[in-house]
Amino acid sequence: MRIEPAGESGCMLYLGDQIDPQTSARVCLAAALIRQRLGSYLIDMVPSYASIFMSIDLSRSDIRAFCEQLNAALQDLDSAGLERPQAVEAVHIGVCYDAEVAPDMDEVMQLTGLSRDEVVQLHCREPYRVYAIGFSPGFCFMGNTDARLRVPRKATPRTRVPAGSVALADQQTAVYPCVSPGGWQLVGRTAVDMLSLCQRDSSPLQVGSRVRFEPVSLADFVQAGGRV
Amino acid sequence: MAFEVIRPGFLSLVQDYGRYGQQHLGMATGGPLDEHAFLWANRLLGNHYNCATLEITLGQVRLHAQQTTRIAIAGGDLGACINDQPIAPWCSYRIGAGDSLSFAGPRKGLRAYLAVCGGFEAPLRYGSCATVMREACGGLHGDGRRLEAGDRLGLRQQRGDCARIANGPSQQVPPRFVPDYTAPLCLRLLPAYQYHHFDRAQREQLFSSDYRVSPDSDRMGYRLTGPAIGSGLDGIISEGIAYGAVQVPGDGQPIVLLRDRQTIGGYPKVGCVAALDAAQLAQRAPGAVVRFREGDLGAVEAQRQAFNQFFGIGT
Repeated sequence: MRIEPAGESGCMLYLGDQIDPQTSARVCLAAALIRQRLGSYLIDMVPSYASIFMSIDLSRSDIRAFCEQLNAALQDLDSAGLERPQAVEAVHIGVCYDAEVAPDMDEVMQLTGLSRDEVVQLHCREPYRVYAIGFSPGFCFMGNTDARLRVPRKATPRTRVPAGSVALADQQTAVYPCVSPGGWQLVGRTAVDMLSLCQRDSSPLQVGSRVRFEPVSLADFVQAGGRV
Repeated sequence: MAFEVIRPGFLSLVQDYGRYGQQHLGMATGGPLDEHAFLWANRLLGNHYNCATLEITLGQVRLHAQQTTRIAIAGGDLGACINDQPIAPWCSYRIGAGDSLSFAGPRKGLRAYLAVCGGFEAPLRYGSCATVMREACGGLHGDGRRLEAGDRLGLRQQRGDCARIANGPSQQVPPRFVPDYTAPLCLRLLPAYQYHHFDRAQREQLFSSDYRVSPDSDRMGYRLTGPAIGSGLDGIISEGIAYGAVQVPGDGQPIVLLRDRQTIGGYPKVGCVAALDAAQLAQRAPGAVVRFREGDLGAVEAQRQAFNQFFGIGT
């Protein structure tokens, strides 16, 4: 564990240097502890794969004092782990993998040597963990994908990725919540609004949440409000 | 209604102090690129620090006043006029119904803040009306659009004293608080993030070289060009990005990340520029020369706390 100032009103907490579920679990635990014990000092808190960035209200504490309090608050981090709440159920997200909404499916099949059905089956097989949220509002970085699904980013990023695009890159998968530029491989599309899932009151999608994709037909995708 | 927009200009955005508490959703804070000027514009009118202003970049703006009120202008000198009579920035002015208010183009600095008594009216999105165009969020219509011809700017709150102070004395920012945007700028860099991955030679390079503001600079970040520096890191595990963080991608050219930056990123960062220095940077035009020096955290923080207290930030 490492605590460092980041600018005159920010603080970084590093909890590891790997992208793995264990590190991410520590991030979630630490975030919960910080919210509970030091929440009144925070303007913003951004948990990520292996770190947490905090923006501090300087009218309540200076950075060095906050870093010390943070260090004290996190002494319990590992014992607090024992009281960990039961793992919440995975959020299910319907994805249409039809050719009309999967512009990179052929490329992914070529790169992986898998058939379309195998790509879909592998992508939907296991629930993924949300490791980080960023890039654009509601963009969840999820992983890890099956080793057979690992594909590089596109050599030339798209200037306009359609909203709802379900994408692969390296060992991760994500949904582009809104139209944006992007370099990931697009293998499907969902009608689900990711940003509103991140904001809902009960079990919001957040770092540490679990997400499971399930295939839906083009008709169901359109019925749910999806756009081809 | 206070103003009708005749010419919206190059880039005019409604900005309050920013959208806070939403970065965990991946939402940028937005807000004024030059918060020093923004805060003074509101202060000159006795407004709350968070009142919505218009951030006018480069000018070419013409507004038509629909009611008599008081305005304040702070920040860059963009050749402002009331009824084609020049007015200086860092002052408040009475503007009458039927008057025109225009901003021709930059003379000093790039961005002017136009505040109005009581603040501009705009719908709140996630608690703020700060415009983030990339996220289609905030602004006059709530959808992230910049100002357009025909837009109508209303007042958020018709304060009881607005009519009275409209006719009251002009307020002026004391000269010692008025920055010279043409002066050489040295950015105080607070070591942070991957600072220690930049070896001594790389840091010396950074702290001893001239960097120029690139034309690719925008509200997300100011791109600088100059001697390349490197950390030897290809990338890092994506992490939260502080305001003013200095990102160094593979080409070795530093980028100072500003209000509309992404909330997380995977490029190495050499540290963070003091927030108040980043505000000054945002008034520099492409081609301007800036330098870096190592800042002292305690001193920068003390200055920031005094600044926040002076403007009542957080109250």
